[in-house]
Amino acid sequence: MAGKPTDAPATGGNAPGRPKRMNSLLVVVAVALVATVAFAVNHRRASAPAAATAAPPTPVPAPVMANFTSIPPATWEQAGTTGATVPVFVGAADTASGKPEVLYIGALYCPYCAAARWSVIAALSRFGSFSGLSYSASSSVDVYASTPTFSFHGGAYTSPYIEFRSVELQDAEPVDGRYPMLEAPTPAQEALLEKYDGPPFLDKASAGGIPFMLIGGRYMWSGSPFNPGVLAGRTQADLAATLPSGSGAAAQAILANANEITAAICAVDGNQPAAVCSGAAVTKAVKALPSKVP
Amino acid sequence: MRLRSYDRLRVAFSVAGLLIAGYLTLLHYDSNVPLVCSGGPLVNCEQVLTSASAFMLGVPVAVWGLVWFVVALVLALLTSRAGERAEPAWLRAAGFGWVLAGTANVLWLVYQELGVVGKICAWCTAIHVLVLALLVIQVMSDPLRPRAGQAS
Repeated sequence: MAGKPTDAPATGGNAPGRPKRMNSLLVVVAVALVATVAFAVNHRRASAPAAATAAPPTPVPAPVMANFTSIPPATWEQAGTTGATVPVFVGAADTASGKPEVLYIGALYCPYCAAARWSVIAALSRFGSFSGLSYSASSSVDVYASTPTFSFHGGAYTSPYIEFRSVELQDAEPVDGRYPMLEAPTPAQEALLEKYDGPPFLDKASAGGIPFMLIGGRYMWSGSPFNPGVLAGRTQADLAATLPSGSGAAAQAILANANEITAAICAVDGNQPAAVCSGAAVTKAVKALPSKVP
Repeated sequence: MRLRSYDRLRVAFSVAGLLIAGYLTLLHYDSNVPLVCSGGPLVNCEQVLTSASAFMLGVPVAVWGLVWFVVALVLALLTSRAGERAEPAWLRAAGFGWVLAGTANVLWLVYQELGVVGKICAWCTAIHVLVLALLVIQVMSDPLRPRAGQAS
């Protein structure tokens, strides 16, 4: 190799050959960086129209739904509750329709609603059964982009114990910078949202947030039940498969929140069914439910 | 520039990267840590850091970054200790290999930010600049470094 061995720091000029090769490396990296930026920007532009086109909803396959209905009692007990998602007590139970109502108001673009739906489906599957749900994901241009979830839009729920009403206010992807309207709340639902989704039940900064959930007119949640980041980069089928064993951070978060929802339902439906409402985790969560308006 | 100056820069840049990667790792695991970054139409750290692109093999990219800078710092300190004596061949190879692996990752992450998420994370860009700067330092300082086996 050219260049004189030396025991003193050499200057750049006394190692001919090497600097040229090294400089070539820097040039290659610089070119690769510019090419990456150009390719990425071009790729983004090319894929933008496709993202705006609404794809037809994909029904959730039965084996995926079966994961929600086959969670063994031991997994529910192991998940317990986090205590971080205790609902707000908003008033006396509303049993006008005969069965307590579980009201969910959210939107498909909303990543926090995407997280909440996992727990809602897991909890409500203990009291009845869903049908007609489809795969969905939160907005690809919002925080926690494309959080995998399900859509209640077009779905149905039957239960001998409770009524479930859902409102998906807006679609998942923006069109001309706005999320298209999907479902409109009834005037009564809008009144509930206005009455409870703000002070004195919540602080001013949290007012008007979604997802909004009201159970039996008594217990209310507003906002994210857990960090949607735990669901990132996974598919619905992959995540659902972890529910029966309760393995992983996502399953733990989903099931712990579902236990809180379950407890609130048990508190308003007369602790039915007993097999669900007498579990240790649910009993403990029922005892932790608030009983005073904040 | 003298060899010692390059070595000091290498250590300083590795420490800076370590601090930023540490902050981003904290952000991932502690929701009480505030995100100091703009939320504009192009620069939006929250959107990048909460996207699926912020994870690699199920682990936050910030954690990978933290590990990368820890190793980079160890290599920089070892090289710095060798000073103007001959650097072992394995250390030279490890330095180059590590910084090239980091550069390849930077290219991938730049693609993820601009091509997939469509937003830039300012903190991530700072880390990318530090990795590229470490590559430049490695390249620029190499001709100044005596080879093992050469007279010393």
